[in-house]
Amino acid sequence: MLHPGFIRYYEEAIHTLAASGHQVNLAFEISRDKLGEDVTAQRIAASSPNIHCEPAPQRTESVRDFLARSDRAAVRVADEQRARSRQDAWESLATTVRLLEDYVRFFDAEFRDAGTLRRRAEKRLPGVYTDVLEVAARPALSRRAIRGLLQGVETAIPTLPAIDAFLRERSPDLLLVTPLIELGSQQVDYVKSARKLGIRSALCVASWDNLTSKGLIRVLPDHVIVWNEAQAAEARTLHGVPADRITVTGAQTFDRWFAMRPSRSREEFCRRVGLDPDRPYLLYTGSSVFIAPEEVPFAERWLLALRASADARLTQLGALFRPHPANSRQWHTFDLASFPNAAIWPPIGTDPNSAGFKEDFFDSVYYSEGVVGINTSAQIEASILGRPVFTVRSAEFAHGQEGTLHFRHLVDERGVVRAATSLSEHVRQVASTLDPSAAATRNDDFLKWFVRPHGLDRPATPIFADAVERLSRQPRPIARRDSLWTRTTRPGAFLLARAALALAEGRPLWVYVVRQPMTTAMRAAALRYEAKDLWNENARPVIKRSRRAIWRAWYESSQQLSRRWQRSKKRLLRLARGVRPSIR
Amino acid sequence: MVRPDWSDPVRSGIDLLTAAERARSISGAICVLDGMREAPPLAFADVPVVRAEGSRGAWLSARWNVTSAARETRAWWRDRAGSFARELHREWRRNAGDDRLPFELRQRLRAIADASIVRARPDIDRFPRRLLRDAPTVLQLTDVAAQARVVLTAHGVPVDAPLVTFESRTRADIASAAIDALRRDGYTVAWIGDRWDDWDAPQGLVDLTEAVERSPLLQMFALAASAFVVCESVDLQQLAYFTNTPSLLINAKEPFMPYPVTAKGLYVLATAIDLERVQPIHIEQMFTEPYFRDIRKREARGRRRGSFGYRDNTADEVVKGIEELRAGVASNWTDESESQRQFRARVVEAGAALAAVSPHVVEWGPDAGFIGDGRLVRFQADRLS
Repeated sequence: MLHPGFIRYYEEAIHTLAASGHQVNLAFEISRDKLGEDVTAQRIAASSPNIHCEPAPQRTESVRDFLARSDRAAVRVADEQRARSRQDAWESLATTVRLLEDYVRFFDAEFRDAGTLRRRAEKRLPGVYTDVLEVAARPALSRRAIRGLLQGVETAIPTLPAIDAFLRERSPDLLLVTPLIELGSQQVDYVKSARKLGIRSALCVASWDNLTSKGLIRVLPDHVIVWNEAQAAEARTLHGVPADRITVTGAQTFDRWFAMRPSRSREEFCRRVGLDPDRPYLLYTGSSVFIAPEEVPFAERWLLALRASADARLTQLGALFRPHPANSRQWHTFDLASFPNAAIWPPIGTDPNSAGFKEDFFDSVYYSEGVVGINTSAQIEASILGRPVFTVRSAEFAHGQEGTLHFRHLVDERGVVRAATSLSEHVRQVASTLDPSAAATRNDDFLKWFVRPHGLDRPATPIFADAVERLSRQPRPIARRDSLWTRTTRPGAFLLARAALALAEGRPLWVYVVRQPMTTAMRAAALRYEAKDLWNENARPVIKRSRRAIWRAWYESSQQLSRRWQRSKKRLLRLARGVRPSIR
Repeated sequence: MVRPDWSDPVRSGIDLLTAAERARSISGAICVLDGMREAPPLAFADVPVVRAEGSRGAWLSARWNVTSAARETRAWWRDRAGSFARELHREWRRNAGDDRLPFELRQRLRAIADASIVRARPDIDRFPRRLLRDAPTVLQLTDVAAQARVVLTAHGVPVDAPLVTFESRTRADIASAAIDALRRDGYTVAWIGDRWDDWDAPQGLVDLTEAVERSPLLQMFALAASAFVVCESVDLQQLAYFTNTPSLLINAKEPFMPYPVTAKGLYVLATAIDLERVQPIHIEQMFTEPYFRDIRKREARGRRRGSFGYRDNTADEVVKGIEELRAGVASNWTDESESQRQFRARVVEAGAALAAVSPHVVEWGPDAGFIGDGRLVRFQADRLS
């Protein structure tokens, strides 16, 4: 798993597998505690002796991490020298190639309205690549050639010894990877290592947007486990996965929604969240920061539109707002004081691991008259409970609605969401569902198609667990060693790896040209300082000592001479004194 | 010589004022090159205006084009040189961080890097507050009111009642409350600028949002014909300086940029909320360096929210602001309170202190100690004092 946050998609399945006696080893690429993910990992590890959590082998700073750093200028030459180890260069090339593949995919015809998705991928890449690809990736033929080239380079990148050792040591019957499709994902190396070691591998598609709004499955695992036929089609057409490798299990993450029951009475719940229990309410479910970076003004307009309606039933409706757990901060600006019978629940910043969090969410949906949202999985959850689900197509969220492919699953002819093009149309839609004649009915067709393709009465978790067991029982695939051609091209690819490492900084090309002469000049300047130090430390004391010795010798000899002279002078004087009387 | 670009009336106005000041300093005249046909005729209080026509006009126009191209090239070059100096700075710093180099050399490299980044700092065009203070007296848009009436009538604006221009993307209930208050006092309200796609205009409101997109000049005419303007956009507030229209700016996010230059201006600060501490911040906190660093960061990253979020002014605050604006117009702006004077002094003082650390304050802060003759609305200034 990329981080422990992905446990929530598979929690029940992991418990099921552990209960059947399987050893489930969870390895996390990165640790994360933003939404209490670290607590989730500790909790699941403590729940069964068959479940183990551990960090995946530590990786050096990849291009992706480097690009995510706020201060890219803070590169010290010493760090850079350290990073220029052979392995780091390969890692940088791997990440660069994968980011490029992800970026190029968004030029495909399917993504013509997904400008924001493309820009998100573009932001991760140094400008030197995007400047070229912006032009080169537009024609389909050229795009295909670029993809072929990038896949060729990917093949030439060797597996990481640390990951090889990690997998060899654990020798799993089946390697499951999720999500794998993050932009520039490093998890691809696990699939490559598994291939090399003859370990069966499978990608578990974690969520409904994974195959359309993120990166590509760059190296195909042996199997791909998806929720439904829609995702199976996406895997085939957008990622080139052969049909025989795809297993459809249903959306195991939603199983609990079929089984759950409210944790308290409606009156109790309404009083707890601060709504009038005598009046019906609508639930507004917040979307992620990518979909709705500025959601509060829209939510305010939405509530105003309801309250301004001529229909008394709508003006008296309560409104419960449920911010997206990872996009809740902005809701502090929501002016609850100006809207009677409106509430935000759970309180902003509530830990998703806290007791009662899931129950609260379930109760919020269960007791609501309908659920409104921009584009969020809460809309699917609401459809499981048979609540009418609404959305409003708004220009400010076009990138997160029409600009994403997964939104179409919600609103197209098989979808479950009633989409309005304006708030006034939306208000009419809500009013129509409040008619006593229009009793809420569950859209079973949607659920059969999207959530439980094996039957509404068949939970997806056991099917998922069965599929995993079945795959793990299959014979190990033949270990695929590097071909002669791959080994031959590797030295050339290593030069690319060095270049990728250097270019990851995203600096203008002239910087790379002047860098070496500049470094050489620094070395030359350092020589001067070093020579000075050498002089000060070694030669100078010797000279000083010699000068002192010479001076001392000179001084002592001169003193000696002087003394001799004085002595001679005295002797002469004495002699002269002795001669004088004789003269007298 | 000046060629106003009326698609950006504020920029054009500043260019004209700059040209007038220069002409005055050399006792010369201003030559206005061909602008748009529907632009209002221009006159300056103490600077003659000459029109360039015929071969002389063509010659001056050619000279203008060459000079403009040279100016753009210089700006491009400055930008490139700045970028080069920044990259070079990074390279010096990179080497300065190499602990294998002798300490003295690294110290020297650090000093060189610091010197090179000084050269990389972009020139910040200070907002010319002093120049704009005299805009209504220096730059006279002759017959603009009459021309405005003609244009507005063509757009279906009734000009028999006093007109108020309203521009904001605030919540519909707040806007409606303000518009209702204005209409009760007998004003016709014209809505200009951007608006929400799904916004239903209140009854009796003249919606010029579509028309304004077609002609930026219409904004100027709407302001010229208005008794006053209530706006959220700083551009519109600045345009009001040229048409000598009293203005009330609402939902101001910080104290410097929207501070009104002329005495006929008021502004109301939005409620800023510290999203980390989850509490509204005191106005005094808006005078701190971290606050402006957050604004700068948001601008650089193209995000609307950083560490602070904003809650729009309430209907009550907007209506109070409108009442104070009307009182100001009635008293000819002689009713400034002590707390408002103190706030102005505080802005000037904070501007001087923050100029060293915040490019945003350098750009929008006091111009040689002058922030403006306008004021913060009284109820907020009183709260601060």
